[in-house]
Amino acid sequence: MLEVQNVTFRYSAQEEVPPALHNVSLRISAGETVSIIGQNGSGKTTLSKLLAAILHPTSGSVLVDGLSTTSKGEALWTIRQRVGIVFQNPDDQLVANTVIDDIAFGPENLALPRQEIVERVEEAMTLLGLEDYAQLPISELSVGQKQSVAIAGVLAMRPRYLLLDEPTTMISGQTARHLMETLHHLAQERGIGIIHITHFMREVTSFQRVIVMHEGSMLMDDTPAAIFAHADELQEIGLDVPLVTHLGRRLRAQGWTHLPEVVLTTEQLKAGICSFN
Amino acid sequence: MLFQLKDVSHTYLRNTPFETVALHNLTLSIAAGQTVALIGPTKSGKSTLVDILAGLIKPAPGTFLFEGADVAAPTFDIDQLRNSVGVVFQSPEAQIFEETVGKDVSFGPRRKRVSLAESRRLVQESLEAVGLPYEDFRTRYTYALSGGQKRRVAIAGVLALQPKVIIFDEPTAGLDPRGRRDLLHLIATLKQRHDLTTTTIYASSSLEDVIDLADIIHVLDQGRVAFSGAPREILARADELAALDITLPEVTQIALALRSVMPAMRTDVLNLDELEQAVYACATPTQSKEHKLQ
Repeated sequence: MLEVQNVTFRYSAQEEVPPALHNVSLRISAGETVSIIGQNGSGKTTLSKLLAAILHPTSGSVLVDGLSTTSKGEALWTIRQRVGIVFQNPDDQLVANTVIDDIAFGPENLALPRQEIVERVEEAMTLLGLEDYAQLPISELSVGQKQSVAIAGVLAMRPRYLLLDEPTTMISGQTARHLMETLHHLAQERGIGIIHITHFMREVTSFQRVIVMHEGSMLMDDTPAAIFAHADELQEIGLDVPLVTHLGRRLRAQGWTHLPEVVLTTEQLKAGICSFN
Repeated sequence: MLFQLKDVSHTYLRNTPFETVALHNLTLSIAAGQTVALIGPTKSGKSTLVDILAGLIKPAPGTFLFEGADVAAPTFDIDQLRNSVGVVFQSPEAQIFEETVGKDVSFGPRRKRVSLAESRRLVQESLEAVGLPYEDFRTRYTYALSGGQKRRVAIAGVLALQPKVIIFDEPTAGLDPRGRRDLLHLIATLKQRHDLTTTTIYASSSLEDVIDLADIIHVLDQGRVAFSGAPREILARADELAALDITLPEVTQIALALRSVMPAMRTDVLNLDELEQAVYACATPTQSKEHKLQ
């Protein structure tokens, strides 16, 4: 369990500068899939850095499986191993020359037995579909492939929680969809808690929970259907609902009453339309 | 024609085990004053094409004409091309290097040795054009700007060079929906503000940004132009685009998905209103209403 308890965080000591996070509390379990949305500067990235123990709260506390992120020594190592983070730009976290060396970097530094390292690396490569790229130099990969290597490198640490900060910003269509499928697979099959920060409303509809951040506070924390029922409120703070939700609302108003009130996927849209024709 | 490329190829690391063909017999013309989108997935050759148009790499083999002059000719002055083309690179904040906004934007004019008064005029005009008031921003530290402001400063730095052509390479990556809309609006208004001879080239892996912006879209695939056309003509071929791993606008994705239940569904819709109308053109809920009444 990740627990954020009454956390306030300030980058600046000056009182007149508003805090980046203001009195935020939430809990995320292993195996849960959570998306965090909000404008630039709303506190999304700060929150993820607090969860990963990269930043410490100014007040309040952040606990990873009961261990405070301000712990030192052994406890901090445990936190670092349990919470994996994937940054927006994969070039920021790739360290080795080849795919296989980069994925092995983490487990090697845990000083694990060789066989264990080989197993973990192979498993991570299989999960991300990187088997054919093992010996390729990182410099030869596309951004999407680099993103996959970065995630595989984090998975080789066997984390319980995986944080991803706008992972699809630099990748396109199918690659982005494939990444989303992989994340859900990791949650279901491995019980890994997924915390996904994004600007794309359509990416969050498949998550169990959506957290809306605004000016450092948590504005909403609910299922996608409940969140996207608040179209006006979201637009007021510079966010939106997915286009398919807009269309669903309009079609319902025109008499397609079989459509759910909040349409989240094109499958729901198709089903609602088909029930008439 | 402003740019003419004929059978242009480019190979990186030629004659090494890592040899990669980036462009393969690419033929393309760009007319002055147009807003042109170059759309393609990663590794389609977009960035290489941008580098060629900006005079950063020379195409070989193939012919590249700038305003009718052969760039490969020994008499061609490459600075003539480089001074005409301004590039706002992907993550434009990475091209800011001076301490203050004023210094950064004036870097280009100062290099061109214009007078101090002229440089100041260009900086002021460029900052105002991107929506950053000169007096307020001139002395601000560049490191303390927000991501969106940094992008605007980088664009102002390019505008201050008074280029004939501005190339934007994935300018909206990493912006939230409002920031994205604001930046696209800025790009569209820049076009109107400057005289209509300014040519805008927009490179992206996503069609979403360019649908309202572009006069013509060139879709790139594996170092070639797969097809070209006006936004509507391109969207009509949504199924082909999806196969190329190009991010389709959300409206197009929905229209394409609806085809499985409404085979006549059009995909050349530009916005929610048109999408809604296209649904009504294929189906009505009235049948079932009548059915219920019986």
